[in-house]
Amino acid sequence: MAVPPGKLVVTDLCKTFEGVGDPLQILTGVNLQMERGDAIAVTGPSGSGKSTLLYILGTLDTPSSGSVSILDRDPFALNAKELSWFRSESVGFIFQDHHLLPQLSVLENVVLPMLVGTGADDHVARAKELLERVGLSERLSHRPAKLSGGERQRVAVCRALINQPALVLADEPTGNLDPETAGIIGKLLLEIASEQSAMLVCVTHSRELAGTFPRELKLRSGKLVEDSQTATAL
Amino acid sequence: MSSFRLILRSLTHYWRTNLALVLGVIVGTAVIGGALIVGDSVRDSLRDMTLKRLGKIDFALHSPRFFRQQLATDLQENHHHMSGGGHRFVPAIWVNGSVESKSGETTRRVTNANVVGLNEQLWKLLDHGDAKQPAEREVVLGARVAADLGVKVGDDISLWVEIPASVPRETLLGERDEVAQEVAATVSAVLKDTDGASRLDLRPGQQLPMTVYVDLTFLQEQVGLDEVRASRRNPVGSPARINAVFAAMKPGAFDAVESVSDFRVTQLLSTSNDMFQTYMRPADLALRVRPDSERGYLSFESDTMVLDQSVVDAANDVRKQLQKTASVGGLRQVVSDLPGIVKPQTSGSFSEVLVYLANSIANARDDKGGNQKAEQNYSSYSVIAGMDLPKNAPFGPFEFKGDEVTTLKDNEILINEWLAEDIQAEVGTEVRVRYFLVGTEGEGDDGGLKETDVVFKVAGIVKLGDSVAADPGFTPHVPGITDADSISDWEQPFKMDMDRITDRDDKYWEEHKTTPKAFINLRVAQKLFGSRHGKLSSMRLALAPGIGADAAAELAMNRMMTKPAATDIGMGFRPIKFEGLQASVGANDFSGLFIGFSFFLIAAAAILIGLLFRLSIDRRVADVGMLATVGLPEPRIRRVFLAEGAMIVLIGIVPGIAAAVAYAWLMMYGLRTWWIGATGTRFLELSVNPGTLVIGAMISIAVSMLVVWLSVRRLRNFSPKSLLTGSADQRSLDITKKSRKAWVSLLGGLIVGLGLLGATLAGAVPATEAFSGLTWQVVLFFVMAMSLLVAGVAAVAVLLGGETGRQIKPGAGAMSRLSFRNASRHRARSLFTVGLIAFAAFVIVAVAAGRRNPSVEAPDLDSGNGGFSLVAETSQPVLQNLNTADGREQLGFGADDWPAGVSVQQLRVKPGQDGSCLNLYQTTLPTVLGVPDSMIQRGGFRFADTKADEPWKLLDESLGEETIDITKTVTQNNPGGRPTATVVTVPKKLPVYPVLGDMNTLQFSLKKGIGSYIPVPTPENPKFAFKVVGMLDSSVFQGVLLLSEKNFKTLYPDIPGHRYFLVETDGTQQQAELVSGQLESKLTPYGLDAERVSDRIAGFLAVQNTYLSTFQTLGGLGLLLGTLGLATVMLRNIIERRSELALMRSVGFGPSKLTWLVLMENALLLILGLALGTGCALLAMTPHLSKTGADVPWGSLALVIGGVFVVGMLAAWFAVREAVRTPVLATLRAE
Repeated sequence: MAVPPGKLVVTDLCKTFEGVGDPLQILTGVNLQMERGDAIAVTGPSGSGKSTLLYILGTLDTPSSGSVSILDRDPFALNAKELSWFRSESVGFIFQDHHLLPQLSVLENVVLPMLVGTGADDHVARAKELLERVGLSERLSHRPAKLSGGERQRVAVCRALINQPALVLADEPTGNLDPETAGIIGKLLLEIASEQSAMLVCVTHSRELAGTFPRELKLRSGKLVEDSQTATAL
Repeated sequence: MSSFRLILRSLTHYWRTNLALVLGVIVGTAVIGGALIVGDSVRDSLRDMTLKRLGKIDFALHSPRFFRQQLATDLQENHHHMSGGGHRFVPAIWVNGSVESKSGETTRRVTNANVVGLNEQLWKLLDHGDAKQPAEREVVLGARVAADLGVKVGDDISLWVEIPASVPRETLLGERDEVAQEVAATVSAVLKDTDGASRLDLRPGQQLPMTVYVDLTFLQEQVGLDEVRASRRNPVGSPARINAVFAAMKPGAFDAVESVSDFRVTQLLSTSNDMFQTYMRPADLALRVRPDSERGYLSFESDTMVLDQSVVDAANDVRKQLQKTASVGGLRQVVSDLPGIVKPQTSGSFSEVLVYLANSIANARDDKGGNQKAEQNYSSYSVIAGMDLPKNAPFGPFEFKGDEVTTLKDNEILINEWLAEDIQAEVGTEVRVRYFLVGTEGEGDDGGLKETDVVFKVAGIVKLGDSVAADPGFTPHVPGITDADSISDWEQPFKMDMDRITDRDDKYWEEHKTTPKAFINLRVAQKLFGSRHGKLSSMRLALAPGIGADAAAELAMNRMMTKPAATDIGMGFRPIKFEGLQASVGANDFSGLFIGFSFFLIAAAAILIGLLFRLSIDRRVADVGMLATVGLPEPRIRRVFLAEGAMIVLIGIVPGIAAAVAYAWLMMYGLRTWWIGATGTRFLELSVNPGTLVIGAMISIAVSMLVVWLSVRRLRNFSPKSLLTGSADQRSLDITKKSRKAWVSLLGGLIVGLGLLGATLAGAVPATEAFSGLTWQVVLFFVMAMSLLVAGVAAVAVLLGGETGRQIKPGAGAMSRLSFRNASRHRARSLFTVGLIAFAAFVIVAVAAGRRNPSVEAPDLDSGNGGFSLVAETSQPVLQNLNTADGREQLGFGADDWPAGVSVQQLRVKPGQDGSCLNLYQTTLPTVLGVPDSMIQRGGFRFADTKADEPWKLLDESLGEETIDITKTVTQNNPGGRPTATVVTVPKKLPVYPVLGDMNTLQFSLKKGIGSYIPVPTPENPKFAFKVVGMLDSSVFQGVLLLSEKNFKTLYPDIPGHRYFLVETDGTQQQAELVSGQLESKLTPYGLDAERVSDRIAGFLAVQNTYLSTFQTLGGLGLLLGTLGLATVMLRNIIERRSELALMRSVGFGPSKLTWLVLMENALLLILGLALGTGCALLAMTPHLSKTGADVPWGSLALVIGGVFVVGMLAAWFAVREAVRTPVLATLRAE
């Protein structure tokens, strides 16, 4: 399968929070480049700015300085409407908490991002494929309340990938899961992202999960530093 | 997956919250829609009452004059050209009367009853159920009369009705002593209160009137209005007379007509009036044209002795017509329709005369400046004529003994040779004429008419013989006087000094009857003897030579009938059915009234919807974040929530409409029962109009959607990240740190409040009026209370803000402290709760505390009772002066029957609509009272917004003519369709007279204020206008307008005597009861009914107090509903703190302790709100509460406040259950 064009380029990204006292600098010059099909794990201690970085990459937060280019576009130059559209088309999120809507069935939760688009039938078919892929083909009409934690997170993975986004962002995707389930979810995430040639950025505390990624970066003193021989830090 | 499916799924998934929202929408719709239905129902009920009240009657002609019954017959027999015929015109007598029943020692009386003399024709037009028409000596009683009298079929009653006066009662020859006739009759039927005939009235009103039906012929016989055929005993016959004609137009003539402006109404009304005019005869105007063939003139005269101005104007028009034709022809015209029957208009061709009876004419030489006893030469009871001296035949010239006199100066008099001999007078002699002043009944030394005198100088002595001066025809015929054989046979209504009548006087009467003994200048005579009833006693026209007097008289009479216009002299038909239908829109819009009363319910429902929706959003805030992260634009997310809200609203609307009908039913039930004091009728029925339901639903949708939109809008403030991470909650907590504003509000409120309190205690606040009848003290206490309320809420804010800095130590107060700390967690939310409850409690308590019970108030000159103890009204006019011993004696009082010091203000009455708040119908012209000068000088009463030191004296101001806007109906013809009527406003110059009115009447019934004009008699055809120059505040004069007696007499000259009395006693209950009993017993024929002024005001205030109760009840319900909102706030807090609560449980807090913790917090907010609101409200009302008339319903208020607390705590308890039931582990894990 040919790799589609487009990459993620982060240059000198800084994020500062203004507070009552001195400004708090979380990110002090992050640089990162990823091609389609790349997958990285970002680790670091609590408060190091992992989630902040992820939210900025996902356009849910804005950088204080520096630039982010996703698929050769500067998402922060877009207006709110364009940004929402861009997010629905290009970015998929997976959170520690699955954030499934309790009123919707498994299948409906997966096709939820289709609300932004046309909601065509092929998405339903694709959602079913994804759910089959993650072993939930028997649970299509079940509500989240009827699923286990691992199953819910698998639904969340499907939801993140339903639009075949170029960039998949996972924030502690296995944080609430037992080690066995966490391993399954991590593996699944990597496999599907790879199959879709998505760029996968996973923030995690889990050494086990990070270890399954081809490349691991550490966030230290507001900067990303290489922590693996398998990837090249910039 | 579509948005619609997402919405549907959300609706069902969050069904508990959504059900509560639906319930909120149902309540909102019920209250809003219900209030609108109440408005419709009141309007429709009033409309139905109007239709039932009048039966088949469309038009009514009710005249102050009595006219021939034949007129009604003529209309009935000749109406076929009116729109094809099929109409009915029926005769009736409609007079004011009183009814009395005796049972053992007990006498019961109702006054101001409508006594209706009717025949079978009118009975058929009425809705009388199965009651039979009254026969001779029978009465059929309306339900209210029977109930008030406590009589049943077969009982005997006495009916007192006014005897029609042929001569105005306040003129010299008017009958003043026997004004009413007792008619004994047996009750043959009692109408049910549901029968329309029970409420027959010419004026719209929802309260049952006092109505009595009597056989027409029987009533005519009893009061002397029956037909008298000419006989030897009664040489002059008279026709049967009536004063009312009712018209029922043919069925279908007015289908779907609701307005008096409708073309079909105006057309048939105009035709009916034209026909009435056509068949009217001089006798119908008490007018006669007396021919004197011997002397060759016609004399226009009136049965009332004087010609009223409208007749004089008409007679002049006819005279000019006749004279003009004659002058054009030069000769007698036989072919013209106006034959030359009178002489052309030249000097002496007509003569205007005013005759009067002088008590005496004496030679002034001996009277020592007016001492009657010193008079040596006098002549008693002589007719004196005022006229311009005629030069030509047939009225002149006079023949003189001595020099001829051609003109008379103002102080000159001509006497005839008989009088000259009697009083030994010659040319140049001064003579004193003594006479009674017209309209001074009760003012004379003997309690009768007041006598005065004037001195003239004799200018000439007129011969009698066959001269023109020897004409008894100067004086119109007055039965009982002019036809008496001797002076001693006169049936005069005034006291005569029979001892002063000399043989010469008798001989003159025998030989010359009413021939004037003296003549004065007409202008002077009119000044001395003229009255508001008229200034001429006859107008004489000289006949052309050779014209038969009788034929000429008939022709002149026929011509007279084209003028004056019947409608101009109060003899026109009125479209009473359509006036009633138009008035049934109501004096006040009950829709608006009940929306106002239900304000707190609507607000509570709206707040509840808002809080619940916010709660719903809060619970799903992470879902919102999720939707945003998957790329749903924020506006679209809001649209999804809005759509969800809309669905909930729509789901709530349908049952809401049903609930609206139920709510309206309950309110209508309340208006018929609990709140009947405000409506006075139990005939208010529910009326549901589909259009109104739609409007109610639309308003409810709009209100609900606005609230939902406001709730959803706040989502804009949060980023997806903050929604996902829960930092949105944290952000809303930031507000707790801002307490500077709270300090400013606290200090500001305290400074203003305590400053005003200090100023009040120091007596620095003036006791004068600020505005709208409110004193500065009342206003400042209100401002003070509001300031302290603001300070109180600010103090709560400061306390809650300061709470976060304190440490909670273990111990007895730890739980309370923790509760308080919890309340401070969301200070804005807690403040909102306290503020809302405080404000609602403030309004409800303040309104309820405003109740008054004036029956415990003592008479006070500057209060609503004006210092008067009693108010009395009569059915018949009283012409005597109750303030003089003679006046009271004439009314039957003994010397000891009247306590010393008691005085009475006697007011004249022009009956009109009831403009008080007791009448639900729209009022255009209420009853007008004529205020005597003595009362204007006395002053008193409390005024509002009236900028005058002596407001009563504003009534004496002369306003002249002013241009005011009046309404005019313009009819436009539409080719091929019915003409359409448009009401426009046009300026018109009118004479304007000042009036005072009660503020309630002016503002709420008439929708007028100071400076407003009230066109009279109708807004479309006014002859003059009243201008409101002052407003009384909460006075006994609710429902009426006050006009000076001087202006009253000018505007309503036909209305004699007084019918409204205010009695000033020493203020003790004992004296008031004594005087009341005396008045009621002595003035029985007048149908006097007295009551305490304070009771009358209490009756008016019952309406206000009932409305206050209604507001208190519905406001209390709203507050109760609002406390459910408090529970919602609690629930929101608990949801936000569920992890904290779970943690507390995990560390050992038991369910009961947690329940206690939350309930304490809830109780704290409730108690703070209720205490602040109630306390400040009572402070605001202190000036009122310190008065004796304050009537605070402490019990029901305590019930409302207590109920709010209990319901609030119960609701909070339900909220606590949520926290206690949540599994600890699950909650902690989820967090």
